Amino acid sequence: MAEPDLQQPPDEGATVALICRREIAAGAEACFSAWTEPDQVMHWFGPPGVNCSAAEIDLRVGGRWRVATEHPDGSTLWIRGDFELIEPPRRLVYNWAHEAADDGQGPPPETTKVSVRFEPRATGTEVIVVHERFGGEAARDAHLLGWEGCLI
Amino acid sequence: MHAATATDKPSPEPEDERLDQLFHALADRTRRALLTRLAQGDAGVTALAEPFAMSLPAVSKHLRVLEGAGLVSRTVEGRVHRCALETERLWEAEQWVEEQRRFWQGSLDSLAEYVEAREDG
Repeated sequence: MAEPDLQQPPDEGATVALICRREIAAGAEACFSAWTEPDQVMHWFGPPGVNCSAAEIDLRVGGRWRVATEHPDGSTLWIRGDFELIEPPRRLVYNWAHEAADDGQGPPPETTKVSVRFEPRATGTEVIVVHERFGGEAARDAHLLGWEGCLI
Repeated sequence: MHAATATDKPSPEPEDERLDQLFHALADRTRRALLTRLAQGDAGVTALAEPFAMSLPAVSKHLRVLEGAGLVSRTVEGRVHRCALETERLWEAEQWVEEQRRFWQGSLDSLAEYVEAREDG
C-alpha cells in the first residue's frame, strides 16, 4: 500500500531544552567578561572534578570558541562552537559540540545550542543558561520553539 | 525505498547519532502524545490513533519513528499489533538532560565563586 504524503503541521516542539539559573553578587559586566575572556573562563568552566585546561575565544559573530576539559578519568575533551549572537553584557548565543578525537573524521557534531542571559537583579546578576538539543536536521530547520523541562 | 521490515537491527552506531535519532523522535508533538498515552499502558495501533485527527497510516508512520529510536516496541498477535513504551531509551534522553544540567549547575556555582571572589578582592 502506498503511503499517503504526510500533511504534517510545522513542528512546534522541535527542541529539548534545559535551563539553569544562578544569582551572582556582581555586575553583569563582570559576569560577561568572566564568560568571554579565555584566562577567566579557565577559572570556572566545568563542574567540580572537571578542570578547564585551555580556552580559545574569538568573540565575534561567526567567531569560534574552543575549550579543553580534563575529566577525572584523565581524558581531555574539547568542546567548541561558533558565536551566533553577542550583546555585551547581556546576551550570548553560541552552538556547542564535542570535538571528535580525530577531528573532521568522526560523526558530525551534535546539534546543540547554548543561550546565556545576564539579567541585572537587585543584589547582582542572574545568569540564565538555556541549552537546547535539536532533533536532527529536519527539526532544526523547522520552527524552533522550545519545550522546556522534563521530557514527558 | 525498501518495504518496511520488522527486523530490528541495533547497529553499533555512535552514541551521538543514537541520541540525535532519539531526540528527533521526541521533537514532535504527536509522537510525544503517543508516548504519553503508552505510558499509561500498552495499546493497539487503532486505539492509539483514535484521539488524533490522522489516518491510521499516518499514526503508523509516527510509531515507526518511535520504534526506530527504540522508544516503542511492537508485538504482533494474530492481526493485532500491540505497542509498548520502552522506558530505557527515554531514560537515555533524560540522562543527557541531567548530565548537561549537572555540568551547567556546577559551572555556574564555580563561576559565582570566582566572580564574587574577584569582586571582593
